[in-house]
Amino acid sequence: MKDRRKISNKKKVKIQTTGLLKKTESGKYFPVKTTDTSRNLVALRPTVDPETYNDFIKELERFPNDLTHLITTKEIAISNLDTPHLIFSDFDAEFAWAKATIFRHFNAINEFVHHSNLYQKKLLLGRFEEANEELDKIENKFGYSIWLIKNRIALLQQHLGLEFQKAYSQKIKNELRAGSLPRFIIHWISIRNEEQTSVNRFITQLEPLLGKMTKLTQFGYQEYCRYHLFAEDLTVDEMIQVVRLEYSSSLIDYFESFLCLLRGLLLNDESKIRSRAEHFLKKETNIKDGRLEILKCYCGLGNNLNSAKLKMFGDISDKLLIGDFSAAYKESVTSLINEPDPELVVICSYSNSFRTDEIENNHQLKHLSGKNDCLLDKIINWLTEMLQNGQVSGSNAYNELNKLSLNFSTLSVIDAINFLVNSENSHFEDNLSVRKTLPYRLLSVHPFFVDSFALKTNKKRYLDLIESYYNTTVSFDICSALYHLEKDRLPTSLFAEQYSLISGMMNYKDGNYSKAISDAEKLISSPIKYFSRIGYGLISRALLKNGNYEEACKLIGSCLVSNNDYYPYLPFAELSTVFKPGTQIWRSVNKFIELSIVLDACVKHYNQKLEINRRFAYEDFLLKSGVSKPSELFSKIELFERKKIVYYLRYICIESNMDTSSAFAGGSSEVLEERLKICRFLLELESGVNAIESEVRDLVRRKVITSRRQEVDKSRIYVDLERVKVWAEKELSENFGRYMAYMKSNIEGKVTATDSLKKHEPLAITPTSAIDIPENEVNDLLRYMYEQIRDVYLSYEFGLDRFISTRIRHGELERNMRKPFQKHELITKREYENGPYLRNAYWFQKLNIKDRYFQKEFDKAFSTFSETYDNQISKIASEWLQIKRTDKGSGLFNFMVYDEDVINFSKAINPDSSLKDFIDLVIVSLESTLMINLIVIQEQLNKKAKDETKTIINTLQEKTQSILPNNSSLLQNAINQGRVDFQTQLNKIIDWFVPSASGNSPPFSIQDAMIAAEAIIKEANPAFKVNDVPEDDSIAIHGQLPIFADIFINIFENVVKRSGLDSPEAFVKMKTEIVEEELTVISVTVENELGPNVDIKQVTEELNRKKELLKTGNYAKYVATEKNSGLFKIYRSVLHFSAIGFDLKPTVDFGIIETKFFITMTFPLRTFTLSLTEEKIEE
Amino acid sequence: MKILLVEDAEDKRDELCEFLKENIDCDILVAKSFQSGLKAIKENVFDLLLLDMSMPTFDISLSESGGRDQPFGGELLLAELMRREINTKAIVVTQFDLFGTGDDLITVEDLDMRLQDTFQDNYMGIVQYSIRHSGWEENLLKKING
Repeated sequence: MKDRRKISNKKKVKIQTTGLLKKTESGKYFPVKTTDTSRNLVALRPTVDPETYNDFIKELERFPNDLTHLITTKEIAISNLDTPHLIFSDFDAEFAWAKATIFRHFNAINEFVHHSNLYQKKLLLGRFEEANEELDKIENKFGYSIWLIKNRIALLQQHLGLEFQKAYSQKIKNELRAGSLPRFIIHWISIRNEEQTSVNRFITQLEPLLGKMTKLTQFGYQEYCRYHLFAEDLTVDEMIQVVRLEYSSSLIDYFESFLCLLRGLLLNDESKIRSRAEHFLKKETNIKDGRLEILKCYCGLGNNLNSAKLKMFGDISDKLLIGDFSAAYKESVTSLINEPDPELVVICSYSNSFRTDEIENNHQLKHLSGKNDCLLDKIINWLTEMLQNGQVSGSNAYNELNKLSLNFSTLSVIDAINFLVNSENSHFEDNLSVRKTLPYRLLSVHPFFVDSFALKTNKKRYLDLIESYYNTTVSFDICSALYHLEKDRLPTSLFAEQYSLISGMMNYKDGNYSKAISDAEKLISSPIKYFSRIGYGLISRALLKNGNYEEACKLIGSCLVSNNDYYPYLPFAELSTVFKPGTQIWRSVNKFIELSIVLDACVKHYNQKLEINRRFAYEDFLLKSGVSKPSELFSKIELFERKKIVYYLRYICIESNMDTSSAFAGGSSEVLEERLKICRFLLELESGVNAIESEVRDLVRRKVITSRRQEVDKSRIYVDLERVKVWAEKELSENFGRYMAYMKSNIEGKVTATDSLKKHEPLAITPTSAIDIPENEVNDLLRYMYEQIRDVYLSYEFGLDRFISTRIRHGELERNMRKPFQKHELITKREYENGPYLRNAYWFQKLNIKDRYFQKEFDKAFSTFSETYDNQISKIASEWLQIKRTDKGSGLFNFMVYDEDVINFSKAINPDSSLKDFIDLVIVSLESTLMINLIVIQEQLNKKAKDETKTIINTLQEKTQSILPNNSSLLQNAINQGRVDFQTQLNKIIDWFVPSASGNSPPFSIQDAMIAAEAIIKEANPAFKVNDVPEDDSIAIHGQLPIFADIFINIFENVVKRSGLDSPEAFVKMKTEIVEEELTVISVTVENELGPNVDIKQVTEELNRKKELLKTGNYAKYVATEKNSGLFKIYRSVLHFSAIGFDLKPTVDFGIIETKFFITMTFPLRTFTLSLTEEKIEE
Repeated sequence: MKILLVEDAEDKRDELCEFLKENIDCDILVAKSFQSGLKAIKENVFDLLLLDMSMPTFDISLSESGGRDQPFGGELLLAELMRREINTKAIVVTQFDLFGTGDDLITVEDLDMRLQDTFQDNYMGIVQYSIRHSGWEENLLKKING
């Protein structure tokens, strides 16, 4: 008999749904009572049996209610892309929910698919307006979706450029809730599409943010971002989270993510997992999407592939494989116009890059669609360039392709890019490192894609599928031969290089290394670069495997110096394992110059830790050549191949390598001198190499500065500014390019959500929530670049933190602070780490304490003193002498910066500013902050540390006096002496906190810069002389020496070039004026006599013209040229000396008075007094 | 026992010398930088090397700033021993607990394992020195006495 108290699932769903819709708070049958009506569906869904999801959705649809947030086919407003997220229960429930939803909307999905296909085709053929119309149709029908916005942004960037793209993105962002996931995604998609953005940097910049997303409150966010922003292939468990979150946006996004999930399921080796997708595909018959059709074929649920089309693919690809490149190219181009199939893109790109016919030697495909802006043209041309030139010379194409594959990731043709780009990266991998789902994303099949499968079972399945379509083709024979590793199956009709390539790879995999070498030799000599670079990769691997180490070393070394394009294909991992110092193999090759070259490439491109091996290779080669220093090779230069010896001298005989060889007893100055000799020699061999000329200048400058040092450096503060600059120039060039593009497009108003930045808001060292996006994108970018430089400046890697850690915090401070009390035997040690303090045996014996009570009190007094004092040292090291961060709130190195400062920076950057200018500006600001911090630290040590320590020592004195009132004069004297010594010692420690004289940021004077510049000019013009260098050097220019030196180099160069005298001389006048407490203005005038042959009138006119250009600001283009640009460069460098916080601007004036040229500059400098005054110390 | 001590910090160097002389019958040669350590290794035969890990390249003086810091100078000297096939045993005596930077940041235990793996013939272990406690003394003696 039916139990009347039990209700059916159907009934239960009905009641539940009604409850939801009527917002009841009663819940007779269910544990959930819904009071928060905006989260009804979210809260209720987990209580519904997944088997009844269909009924549940049907019920909800019967009574449409905004609060239910059901996915519908209605037009979605932007703000509705962010409805409450569903709560995840388990995979099967989520999958069931997705199926139930998708099944209900097949008509709408079909409509979307139809327009989406048209959009893709029109976009690829460059019909941007028509493509835009298709997006409009999708928008009119469905409203907004992440898919739509992503494609709209990408289209706008391609078609109308940055300004329009940014305006659209900002409009969307303004309508989305702050802190919402779609807003975050749109923000970063907009950045990803910018012309200056590269994929690698984009990912590097975003990864840390994604890493900060917490699972607790942002469950699935990371996966969601990876899916949208990096177009990553996620695992099915990750993908289900994306599907769940997409439910909160739109049907389109939900369907697209569900499709990705299906592909992932089908790739799985476990039939149980595959069957989930198969089950859906079996039931689904209404959605007309080619992407689903191909999945059905993989499952054996249909075989509806277009045979005629596949036959055409087979025919054209066979033409390519037998070497008829022109025919393959022409036929693929013709077919591409009709249908932009990825297979044809692959064939077209290969054949275009291989062909050598004279018809179109430049290999540029133009006007495929009769349009100038045809995206497909661009794709094929970039692919051709990459295939021809590889990743290095073809890096521009390589980057563009990578970017395109993200920005248009939903386009099927993008898979051709993915296939070719990733194949290029993984010639020597067992499986192509392409997207795992790649073949499943295509709309048809081709033998090219067999190797995309990682799993052998999937490979086999794919082979079986394509056999019926391609079994008579050359391409199928190749993949069948490769699959079975049977060389005899290889078709003999292949063109020579293709045959050698496949045969070589098979021989290599089979262990027939000699045969592989012989195949590779044929490849190396191919005129097609694609084959020659793979040939180098193959031959070097085979030589190593075959034990031909000497040959391998010489060949790879030669390859590296002859063509920089080859290095990505060389086996650095294997090389670094084989060539190890101290081994027999090492001894067999260390006489070759090539070993250093090979190891240098290993360090640069594979593993920096191999530096030691490179150093040894450097030294061994010298010793084997019968010399100990590189300069001794100069007379033997003809013994070596020119390219190799130049490489060795230029890149391997560098100071850091020579430092640790034992040939330089004269220390670092001898190493510097040796490097200078090498650079001068290199310039003799090859004059005009800018990088070497600039290195000579740097070396001369350092040499001059070192020789001017007059006392031992007491400072422990150091930042490797050169490395900070090199890092910033490499890492920030892209972001700076973006910033300049913003400036040039005057884009600020279009990317600002609020009017202005809030003042006095600190730039926190720890970032805020990962999902936050900036209010003002332009200033945020500037802030980001500033923070990046600041973080490196402070970093443990080569910044401030490293040096205060190694030179102060770790041991040094402790040893120096303990010294005065150890000297008088007042402080004791612990027995072991965290153990009890040992008895003060010295004073215990000396005072001969007999009484047990006094013994105990005596021990206690000394152990308390030792512990308190050690704690005091710890506090200074671990709290005060730290970079101030959230977790180091008492840190005295405070580099917090305020939004106001960011605005000041933005004012200092002009459209013609270079990245170098910006970096200099930030470094000057950081150095100023460091000065202020050092003053604070000096004061804190002098006041607080001294006072607190006095209290500690006074306590010891009082205690010991009270224990031994009549017998402690010796001890009291020692304590008094200890107190005095402590004060002296602390003063020495305080002296550490001044800028280093040995680093790149010592307290140089302007005179140092002048003298360094004079020495640099004398390198090429020994007769040049600077007179009247002023003696007053009280103003130090920390960190600004290179800028001042550059200014004087330009001025002196001008003197040499334009004076018309054989022995040109410059006369310098300098004036210092303290304008207010922290502002000093330095005025420098340099004059020089002009020779009798100089046409004064003409020069005056020329100078006036230049003044005019400076006045109007139209001088930027001259700065980049080498000719006649000295005064412009000087002017631009001088402009950097705006003293932040003051209005006074720098000035430059120049001209001719009688027969003398003059230039006068004024520099407003913010000044700080660093050393403590005597009074302060006395205090 | 002939010992080479490569240590740039004066106080630590003095304390180590004093301790060794008190506890072992030994002659100690002192080097204050990577270069003077290397020179000593090339010109002499030692029974034991005591190496600091971080050191300057050259001895610091009025005319010499010391050159570049060698954060793994001790390891570099061990590599020199291996390269020159010198079998002298070596102990690293350091006051650091973390080495390297960024992704390469390693603990003293990691470093110990790395040195053990790379320099099996020379390396005898690492001793963490501290001015604050004397626990290191016993460790050092244990390592020296095998």
